[in-house]
Amino acid sequence: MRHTKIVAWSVLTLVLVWIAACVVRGPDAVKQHLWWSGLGPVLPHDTFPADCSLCHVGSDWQSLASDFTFDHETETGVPLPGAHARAACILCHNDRGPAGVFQRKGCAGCHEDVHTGTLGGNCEDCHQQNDWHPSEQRIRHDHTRFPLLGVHASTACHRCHPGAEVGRFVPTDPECVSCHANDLARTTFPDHFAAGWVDRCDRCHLPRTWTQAQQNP
Amino acid sequence: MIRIVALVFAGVLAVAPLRAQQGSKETQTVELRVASQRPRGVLVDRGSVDGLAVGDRVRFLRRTGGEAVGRVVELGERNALVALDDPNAQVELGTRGEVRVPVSRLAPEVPRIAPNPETAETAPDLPEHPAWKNDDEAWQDGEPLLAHVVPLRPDERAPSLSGRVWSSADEITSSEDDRTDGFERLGMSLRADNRFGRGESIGVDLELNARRTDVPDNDDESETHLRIDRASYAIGNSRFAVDRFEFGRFLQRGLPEFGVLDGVEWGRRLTGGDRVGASVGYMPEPDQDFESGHDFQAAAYYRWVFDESEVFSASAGVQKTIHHGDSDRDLAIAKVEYFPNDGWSANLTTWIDYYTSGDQAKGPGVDITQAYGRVAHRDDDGNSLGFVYTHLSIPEIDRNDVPQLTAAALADDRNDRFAAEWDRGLAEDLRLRVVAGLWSDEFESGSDAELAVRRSKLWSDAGRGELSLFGTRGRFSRTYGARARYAREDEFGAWTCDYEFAQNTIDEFASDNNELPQHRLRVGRDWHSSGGWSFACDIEAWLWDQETAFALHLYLQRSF
Repeated sequence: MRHTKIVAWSVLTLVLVWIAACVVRGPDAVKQHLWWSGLGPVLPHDTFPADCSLCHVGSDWQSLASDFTFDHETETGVPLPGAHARAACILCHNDRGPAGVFQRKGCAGCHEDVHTGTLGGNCEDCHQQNDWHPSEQRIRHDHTRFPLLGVHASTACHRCHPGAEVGRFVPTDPECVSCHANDLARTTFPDHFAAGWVDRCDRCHLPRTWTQAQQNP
Repeated sequence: MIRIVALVFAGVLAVAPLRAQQGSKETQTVELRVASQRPRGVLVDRGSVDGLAVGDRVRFLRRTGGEAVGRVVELGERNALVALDDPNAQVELGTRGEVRVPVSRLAPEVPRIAPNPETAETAPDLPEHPAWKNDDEAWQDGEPLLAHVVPLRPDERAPSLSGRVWSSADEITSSEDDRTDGFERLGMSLRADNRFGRGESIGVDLELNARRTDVPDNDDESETHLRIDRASYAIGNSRFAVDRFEFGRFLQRGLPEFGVLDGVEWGRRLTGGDRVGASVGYMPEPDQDFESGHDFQAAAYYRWVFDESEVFSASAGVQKTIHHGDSDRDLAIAKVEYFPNDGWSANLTTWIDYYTSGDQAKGPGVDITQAYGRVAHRDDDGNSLGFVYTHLSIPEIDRNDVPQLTAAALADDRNDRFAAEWDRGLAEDLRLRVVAGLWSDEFESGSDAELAVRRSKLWSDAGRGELSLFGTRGRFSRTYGARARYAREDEFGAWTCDYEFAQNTIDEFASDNNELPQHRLRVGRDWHSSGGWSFACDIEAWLWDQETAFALHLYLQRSF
């Protein structure tokens, strides 16, 4: 039955995709040279010097001189911070669209958002531009309803955010038992379930360690 | 009288050549560039046809600031050798320069000669040449034939390979039950573009990781995972192909909010820049395994853009998921983005769930599960002001994607936050940053604030410092503290040192002993090479009133 449903959904979706592909205007109806008004080489050469051999060598236009340098900020006004300075030109200047459109969108213009839009577009809050390695995310936690107190500050992210490794940090429930259900289940003395102590752990436990608790008066 | 006339005449004769000489000295600036370096100087890309002559003074404007001056010593038709006044001076390739040349040297415009109607009438009849035209698609009527450089087609473009390999290690040891945590990761990301000359892109992202937790009184935990984040083949979406297809495992491109997919996505760019697309396949569970096969999805979207510059756009999409064969989530995404060139930016994304009578916790109806909105302005001096709003509740779905909650909690759980961020330069080396936020959930509301002063060129030209004061009224606690940071950059990276103190008060703890002071010290170093190597290392220590913890973080990456 389940298999039948899946096959049915697949067929239905493919049919819809096929219909959509047929209904919308096809490539023949699009004047391709009007895609972008600045169409030409993906890198505008208007302001470059007349001597092509300054940059190009060999018999094709793809080979650049070994000593080729280009000061992007001076020449274009757009700085290339961090690893961007080492990136191949074609990663941004390619035939998938004008680089200016990508740049206007910030990081999202070129980088996939593995957080699927849930964390916003200010990538530099956590990532730095030399190697994209995130750091100091813990400080960001001070701007939530759950600042990292006590041992929470030294706890690996995935303990509370199971999808942290793939960039997924929400949704997360801040109630203690959401993460400490196993600790609650292991409790034998006193018997928390018998006493009805199954929530509001912070009434007796400070976020130092579970073994230090005081009995609720 | 005759003598007076003679003197005036003589004066006119004397002044006339002088005026003519002055006229010949009217000059025009000719811009040039350094084309190559020679033992005796530098070769520039202008020559006699541009009005240069031996002996002309040339001024070079270095990109890094400063000038170099030289004199033309050899002249070609389209280049010239310039000897620098300072033979030890270095002028890089491509450096701009300028020379002032007399206008008289510049080639006069050749007057157009009107055809002689009599001659034209008597000329023999010649076969009329068909109109010259340029077949390049970039060429338009009315342009010179050589107006554009021909854009490379994918089959004319060389294939390329880029990516990175990285590894990290996080080791944490805590006095709490003598606990230790270790997490080692090895990852690889590859992009092969145009490998078969069709403009396609092949992407592979892999990660192998191992984690372990040792707590003496409990069972040790140890896990190893190999996760494939991407293995996909994409083709199209270039100026030569309006359709784009991607197969395999990948993050959906049309609306990334739909998540990672094991399947196929199609998209088409329409006239004017609008896009439409659809996708079908399985969604891997978003955890450390990315296990797939449980959740089938079908999605479609439309993106409207105001014009080709995509300054303003609006997107809408729907996604239907099926969990183990049973209907699960009906999700709609609505997104608006505004990115003009004047420093403003605004975007709003909403996740809207549709529930039926089968969704017992939420009940039938429509619910905005999640929203993210931001409006900000940033000027050329780096001053910025931004406002952020986020809303989050937990959707009622069967997919292994959300915390396991009771029906009541599932129905009521929510969190809304509104924040403002302000960053302003107070002086050349001094900046102020203020962050303030308000939050509200199903039980309580609270706030947070941080005020930071940043000083560059502190104690050295490469040093910078930051002092922050912060406070948070959280769901379970109140926190006040201060944070100080000093960083010193060098040619390869930076040293950083942080100290933070926070005084925490636990709200519900049924005792006066509810204060928890917390110290944090961190020393780090990052290093980057021009060859693509990156290395980062930091040591972190936390000290509470009774417990301590230490962490070591290492990161090594090679990008290419």
